[in-house]
Amino acid sequence: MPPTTASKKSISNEQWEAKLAAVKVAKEDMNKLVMNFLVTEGYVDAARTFEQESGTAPGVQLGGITDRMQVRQAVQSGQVEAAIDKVNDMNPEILEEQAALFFHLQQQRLIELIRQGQTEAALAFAQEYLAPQCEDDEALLEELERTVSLLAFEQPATSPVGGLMDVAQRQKTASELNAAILASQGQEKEPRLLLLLKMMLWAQGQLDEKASYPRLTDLATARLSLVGS
Amino acid sequence: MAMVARNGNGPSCQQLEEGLKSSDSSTRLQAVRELKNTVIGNRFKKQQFTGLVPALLELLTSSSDADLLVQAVAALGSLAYGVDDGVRAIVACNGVAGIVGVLCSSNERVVAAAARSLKLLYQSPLAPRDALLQQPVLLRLVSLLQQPQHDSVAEAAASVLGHCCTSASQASSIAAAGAVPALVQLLSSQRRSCQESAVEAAQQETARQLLPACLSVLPRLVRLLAAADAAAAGAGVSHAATPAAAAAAAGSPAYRALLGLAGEAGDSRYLQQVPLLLALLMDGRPELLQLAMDLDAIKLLVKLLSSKAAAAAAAATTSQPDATAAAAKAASSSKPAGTAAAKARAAAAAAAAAAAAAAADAGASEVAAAGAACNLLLGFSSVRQPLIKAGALPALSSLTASMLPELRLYAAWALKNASHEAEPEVQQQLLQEMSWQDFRGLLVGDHDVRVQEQAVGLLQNLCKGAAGVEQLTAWSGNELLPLLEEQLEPALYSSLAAAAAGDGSSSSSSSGAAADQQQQQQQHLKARLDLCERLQTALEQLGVK
Repeated sequence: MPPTTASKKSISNEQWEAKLAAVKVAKEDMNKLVMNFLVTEGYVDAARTFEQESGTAPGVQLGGITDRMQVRQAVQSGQVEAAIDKVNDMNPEILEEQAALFFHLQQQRLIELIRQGQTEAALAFAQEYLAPQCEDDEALLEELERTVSLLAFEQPATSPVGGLMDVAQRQKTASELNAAILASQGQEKEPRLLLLLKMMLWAQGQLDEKASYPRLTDLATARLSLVGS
Repeated sequence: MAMVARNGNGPSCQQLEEGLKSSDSSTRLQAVRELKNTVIGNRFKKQQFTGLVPALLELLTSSSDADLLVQAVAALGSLAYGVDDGVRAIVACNGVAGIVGVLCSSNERVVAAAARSLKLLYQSPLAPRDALLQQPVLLRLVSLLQQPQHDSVAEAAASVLGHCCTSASQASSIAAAGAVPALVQLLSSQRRSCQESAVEAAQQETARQLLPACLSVLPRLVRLLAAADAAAAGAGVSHAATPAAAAAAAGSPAYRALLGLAGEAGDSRYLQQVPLLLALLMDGRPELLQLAMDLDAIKLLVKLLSSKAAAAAAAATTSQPDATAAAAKAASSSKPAGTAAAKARAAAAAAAAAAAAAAADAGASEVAAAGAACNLLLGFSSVRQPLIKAGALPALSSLTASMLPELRLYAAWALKNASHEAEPEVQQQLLQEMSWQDFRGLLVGDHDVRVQEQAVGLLQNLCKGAAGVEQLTAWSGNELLPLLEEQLEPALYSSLAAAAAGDGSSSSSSSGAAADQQQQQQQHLKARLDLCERLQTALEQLGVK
């Protein structure tokens, strides 16, 4: 909590509520924010329903979202080849041009092979598909070494590099791929709602230094913590 | 699903070939799909499987199964991407015709895949340009530009056309096929990749036809310029870097283009096109000029011009003077809007003047540039310094020797303005840059009276200024006085008298010592003028006019 200084202005709850009530936000803007959130996060059916109920245009092809969500789910469930196939059908340039992303997808395939206990296959795969790509890139080589070292352990999941076997690693790869697809479609990676919330938190931080006022401490409920409580 | 999962080793070339040629359609499909997924993104695999190109092309021409065609054409495009051997293999088998055939399919997915493949293929200089400029193909590509729902197809078509547009005749063919309105549409698109493709395609003649473009196009162009500039700044490589180092650090094509790497086909196109388009759009339209100013377009253009002026090895093209003219026009006609803007304009004019002086042939650009310099050296003293620092004086001096009377006029005028109440260093520099012979030529030898007037004004300022009359005399090789005597026309005389009389107000900002010096000089000049008068009287008395 910032220290209270003499110069800090004090705003009462009533004043704050009055100021809030005076600010006008258009319903269309809110609708657009909701739609943008649904679309970016990939909730296709919800987006369609929302479109029908509110009359807000999705702004993007909902069919494209379905594809993107299928790709994401494929990676998250460990079916990386299917994801690669699908993203290549959506836009082959994504994997052509993003070497690091391509590497991470191949790396995930390797992890899945290791997870299935297919040690020999994993080694052969690493040798044929991953090693050549690391020739020019030291950072990728390091990652490859870490991944291959999983094979040295009886129980890869509990090894020092066991984090690679986590579901979180799949999600990381899935998010990376998802962001790349969004970017290739000319869309932003994050919903605008997130940006707004970040800005609001920042603005509150700025105001904290200058005044005491009812603050928003719970983003989920948007409840104000009243002054003096 | 993939053969890889089984034993870790990928399919061999032979295995895939067998699959491609299988009589069973699902086996064929599986093989093509596998091939496609193996080679996309994998340079080594592409090289390994280049030999499968003929088999793939065979599938393209013989099959009508949409799924198969999509996979096959995607695989072909990928085999060509970044791998010269792949491109050569495709060209050798007349592959372009095969892909183009598929481009005319009625199936949207097939068309989209074919367009993308062409885009990848034509990134290589080895791909045959003229093949795509034949009528039915060209019309097809142009029609693909107009696909509002399918941004990626339009973008791919624009990119392909852009790569085919390396000469004026190619550009006119494309323009004649009606590409321009569609390109304008693309430029207004939300997606930057679309805009970039449109810019690549909008070259030379097509660019001129973009003139009636809407206001919305200008901000996009500026944003593209800014993005390229940011990419350049972000990479942190100086503009003077060697091509090799720059290429190593280069990211987007726009960045590479920004460095104007001479000799690399297509790289400087981007650099040339955006300023040219901006220039065309801003030409004579004040609302667009103002918009450009608001968008900081001038600053960006300036950066571009400075980097071009600095990189002497940059490819000199006909578009450069237009960009210069754009900056110059914008600089001279926009209203002052704060020191930052003023500085930007100054730098613009400076760069313009420098670039103009460096340009091979005199033209409207230099006149505009000189005119701009003229205005900026005038009342905005905060702007004068940057301008002079940027080398305006040598540039302007050399322009005084030009064949064009307007150019001489503006150059002399600008120099006059520059010398007006100028600091000693500036005056010194002026005297250094300008030889007496040249000046004399302006003063007495110029056919254009306006030029002479400006020259006189320049002399006036020099006399008023901190440079001593002795220095002036020395500069002129002792010819100054005799010349003045020779030229004692009433107009000249009165201006000299005014110079001699000299108003003390001009020294308001100078130091006490300088003021003393100035007074001394004025006394000198007065004395000399007296002498002149006496000489003249004497001459008259002698009956000589």
